[in-house]
Amino acid sequence: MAKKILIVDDEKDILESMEMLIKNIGYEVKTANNGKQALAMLKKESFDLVLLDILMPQMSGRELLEKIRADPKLKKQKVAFLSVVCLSESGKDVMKRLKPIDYFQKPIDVADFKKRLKGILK
Amino acid sequence: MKIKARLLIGAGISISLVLLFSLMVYVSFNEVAEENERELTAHEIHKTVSELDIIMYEYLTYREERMLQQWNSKYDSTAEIIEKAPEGEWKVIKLNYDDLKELFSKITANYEKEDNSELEERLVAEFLIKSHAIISDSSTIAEEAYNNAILAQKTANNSMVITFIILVVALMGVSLYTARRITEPLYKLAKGTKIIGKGDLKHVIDIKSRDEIGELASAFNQMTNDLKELDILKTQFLTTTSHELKTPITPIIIQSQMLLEGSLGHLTKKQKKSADIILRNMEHLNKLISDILDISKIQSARLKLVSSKAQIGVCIKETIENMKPAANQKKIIFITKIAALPKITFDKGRIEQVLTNLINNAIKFTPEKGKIMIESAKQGDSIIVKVKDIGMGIKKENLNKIFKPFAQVAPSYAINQKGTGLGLAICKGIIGKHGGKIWAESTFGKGSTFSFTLPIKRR
Repeated sequence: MAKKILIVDDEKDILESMEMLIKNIGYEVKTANNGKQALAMLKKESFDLVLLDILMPQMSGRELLEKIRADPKLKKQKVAFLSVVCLSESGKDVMKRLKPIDYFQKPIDVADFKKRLKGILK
Repeated sequence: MKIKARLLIGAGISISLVLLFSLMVYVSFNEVAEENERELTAHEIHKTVSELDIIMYEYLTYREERMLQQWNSKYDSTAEIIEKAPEGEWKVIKLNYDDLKELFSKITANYEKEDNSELEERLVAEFLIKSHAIISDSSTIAEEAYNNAILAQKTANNSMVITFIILVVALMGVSLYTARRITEPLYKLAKGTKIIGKGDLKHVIDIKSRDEIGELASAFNQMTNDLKELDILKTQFLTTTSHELKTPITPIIIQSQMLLEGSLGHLTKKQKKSADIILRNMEHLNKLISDILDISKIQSARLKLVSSKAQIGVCIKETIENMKPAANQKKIIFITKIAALPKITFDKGRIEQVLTNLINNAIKFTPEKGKIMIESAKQGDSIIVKVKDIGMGIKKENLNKIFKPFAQVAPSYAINQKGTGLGLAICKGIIGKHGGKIWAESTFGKGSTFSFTLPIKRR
């Protein structure tokens, strides 16, 4: 069965583009345009990876990941950040405390993204 | 107290003391002159009266009219000097001198009389008593004047020495004060200005004196603080703006890459070219935004590293691997010489950024089918990495300029290779943050070598 990925981003065009790209690789994709919706979806069904934007209104990606890590059923969920904010701006504590599996910087390089995504979902 | 007030008070005291002692010198010298004059007058009288004695005896012996005239003229010339002398101590001498004339007249008048010898003896004796009294008095005055002159001279000398000492002390005082209170704080201020000028707006100039320099330092610190606030605003603005700009770039890049890959169906040559132009320019725009953000962080000393311990050799090999497609386009080959090196702590992403930049420049300036050498080795307490090319090289006068932001000194054939002009400035900032150095060596026309070092143990 194809691996299933949830993409969370408030930008519609980014969401659609990422969906197209990942579907094209051959994975199953679902999308959410805010943290609340994503959390509801995560509680309903299981995903192999969550691709999470950081800068979102209402609930930021960081807040969402904190909620995921706090939930006993979801705390081992694989999550990777996908953000315009670079890693040094996010702070080291984010990587240490919230343990995202990877950190993709927007705009992504498609070839590099594919390589790393395959590595994560191997 | 203000420096101006202190200096004025110091100068005032010094000038007053100097004036006082100069006045003493003047008065003493005047006294010396007066005493000399007095001594001279006394000697003159002494001499004249002695001569008058002699002439009188000559007259008594030879009785010549010539001697009378000689006596009178001698008497009159000195009478003028005595007349000019002040009253007081000269009074007795004056009276006796007047008496001399009278006695001499009596002596000459008596001579014409008969049987005069007894009276003459008495008159001559009286004359001699008076003349000797004058000689004695004038000697006393001369001696006294001489002693006074010596004393006054001593006072004058001492006053001169004291004036000189005051001048030296005042000068030394002013020099020391200037050095301690003005030069040192100014040096501190200049040093602080340089530090702040380099972008460290957290620096506080530590001068607390309540004078003009203290005021200047305080104004300076206030200004730095204002600048710091402005700088925070600027950084926030730049960060937010660049994030906002990168958001729309993201789907454009994904879409054009997918188009070019053929994921969305086969493209004609023209369509491919169009998508390629869109992608290339988007990537350039993205790089430009990243570079502007980086350089603003570097310039405001806000660059943060995400460091970990790793092999620099692995990092170099990975970067070269990523650069191969670009090199292949110009049929450029890489020659690597990477020594076995100890693990060091560094920001992998940032060092890759530096290497990518240096190798990218090397590719840009190397002619087709050329080669690029990449070496790394241990050098003392550091690891040195070199990127050598056999391109056009850089003119000596440009070697330092190239590490400054927006300095592009590209030769004409590489001019259409778009750069941001920020790459090397960012490299310098990143290497500097790691505690290393970056520099370029070049022989114009023969190629360039860019080298950087990273300390094995970071301080």
